[in-house]
Amino acid sequence: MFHFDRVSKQYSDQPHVTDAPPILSDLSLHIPAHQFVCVLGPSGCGKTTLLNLAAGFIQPSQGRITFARQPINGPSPHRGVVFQDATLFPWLNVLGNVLFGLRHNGYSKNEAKKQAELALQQVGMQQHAKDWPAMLSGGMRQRVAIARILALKPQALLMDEPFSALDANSREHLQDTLLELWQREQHTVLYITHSVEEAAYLADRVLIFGPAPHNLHTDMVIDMPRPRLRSSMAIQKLTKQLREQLNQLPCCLKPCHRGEN
Amino acid sequence: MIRRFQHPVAQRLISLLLPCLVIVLGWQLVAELVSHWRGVPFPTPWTTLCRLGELLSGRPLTGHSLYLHTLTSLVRWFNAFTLAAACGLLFGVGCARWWWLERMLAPIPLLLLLIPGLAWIPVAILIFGIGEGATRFMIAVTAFAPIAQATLHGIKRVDIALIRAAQMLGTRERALFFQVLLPAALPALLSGLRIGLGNSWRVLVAAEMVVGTGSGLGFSIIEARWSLDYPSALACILMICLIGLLFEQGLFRTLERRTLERWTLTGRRS
Repeated sequence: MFHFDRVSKQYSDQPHVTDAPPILSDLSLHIPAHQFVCVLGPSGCGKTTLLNLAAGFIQPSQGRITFARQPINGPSPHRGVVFQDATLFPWLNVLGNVLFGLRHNGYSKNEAKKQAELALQQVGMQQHAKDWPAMLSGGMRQRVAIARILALKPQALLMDEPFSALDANSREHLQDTLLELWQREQHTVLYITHSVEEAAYLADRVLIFGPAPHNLHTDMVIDMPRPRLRSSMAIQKLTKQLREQLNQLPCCLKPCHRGEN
Repeated sequence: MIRRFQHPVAQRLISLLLPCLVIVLGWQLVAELVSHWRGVPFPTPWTTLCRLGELLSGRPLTGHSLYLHTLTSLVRWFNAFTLAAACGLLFGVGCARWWWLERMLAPIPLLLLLIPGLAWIPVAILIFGIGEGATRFMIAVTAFAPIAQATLHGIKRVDIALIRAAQMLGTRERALFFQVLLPAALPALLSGLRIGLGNSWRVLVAAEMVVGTGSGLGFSIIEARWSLDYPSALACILMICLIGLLFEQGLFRTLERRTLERWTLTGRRS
C-alpha cells in the first residue's frame, strides 16, 4: 500500500543547500495493505519524518513515495493522522469536530451527522457528542481524534505516539479499541511509538529505526496469533528481543533538523 | 480573610469593593494633603461624587448636559473605533494571507505602536484642521496598530499541528483560512481589540482636550479646569473611568468568558 522508493529527507532553510545531514537516507520500504506496522527507535532518527512524509505534510528531498500506486502530493483523508496531542478544534464540540472533516468531503448534512454518530459510537464517545474538547480527558480526546478520521473511512491510519501522553490504564483501553477497529475495518496502520511493549502487543511487523544513513536497522515480522495477552510469555520474549535490538543503537540523537513539529 | 467568603457572589463583590476602597482612601489622603500643604481645595471623593450626582441630574456643564457630552464622546469614539477595527482586521488578515503583502506592510503597525497618541495632534490638525475629523483620525490611528498587529500575529502563530489536522481532514485552502486559522486566532484577535479599545478611549479624551470640538468629556475636563470647577473635572474623569470599565469588563470580558474560557485557550484553571 505504502511504497517508499529510495527516499531521502533533509531539512534545511534553503532548498538548494544539499550538505545538511539527511535525517532519512536512501530508505526503501514497502508496507502492504492491512498490515499493522510499528516503528520503534531513538528520538531524532526520522520516525516522525517518515510519518509526515507518508501523510504528505512534507515532501521527500529525493526518492518517491506512493500510496495505492499513486504518488503522495499532500495530506488526504485517505490517510488519517492521529497526532501525539489530540489536535481537536477547541471551538467545536465533539460532534462538530467529527463533522468537520465530513462536511469538507462533500457529505450532506444528514449523511454527515449519521456518519459522525456512528464513528463516535465506534470509539465509545457517543455520550459526549455535545461536550467541548477542553472538558474531556486526554484519552477521551484521542478517542474523538480517532473518530473524526474513522468517519472519513480512511484506507490507512498514521499514528504518531498517539497514546504516549496517557495514563497506563487509558492507554491499554485505547490500544484494545484500536485493535478492534483495525481488525474490523482492515486499515493499513503505521504506528510510531517509544514503547517496546506497545509495539510487541500491537504489531504485525516492527521496524526499528536508527540514525541515517542506515535508517532501517531492523525489520521484524511478528506472526503471533491474536488476540494477544499482555502478560504472556511470548510477548515478554518478544519485548526482550526488541529491546536487545534497540540497545544496539545510541539512546538519543542530536536533532539536525528544523521546521519539524 | 478573603478565603473565608466562599460564596462566588460574595467573593466577586469583595474583589470589586476592596480596590475601590483603596482608591477612595488614597484619593482622600491626597486631597487632605494637597489642601493642607498648598492651601487649594482639592475635591475629595465625596465632593466629586456629589458633583457627579448633580451633573447626572441635569446640571449643565459648559453649556451642555453631562449626558450630551458623554454621548458625543461615545459616538465619536464608536465611529472611529469601528473604522480602525475594520481596517486593522483587514490589514492583519491580508498580511497573513499573502506573503508579499506582509513583506511590504508588516512594519507599519510596529512603527505606529511606537508613536504616542498625542504626537498625532499636529498631523491630525494639518490633515483635517481643528474639529471632528482630527479627533476621529487620532482615535482611529491609535486603535488601528494593536488590532492589526494582534490579528497578523494571531493568525501566523496558529499551531502547525492544527493546520495539518485540518489539511489531513480534506480542508482546502480557502476553508482552512476561514474555518481554522481565523477561529484559532480569535484569542489574539479579541485581545488586540481590547487593547485598541483602551488606547483609543484614552486618546479620545486627550484629543478632545487639544483639538477641542465644543463638546465631549475630554473637552469638559479642560473647560472645567479653565473655570476652576475642579469637582466637575474630576467627575468627568470618573465618568470616563466608568465607561472604560464598562466596555472592558462588561463587553470584552463577557466575550472572552463566553468563547475562550469555554475552549480554554486562555487558561482559567482553578
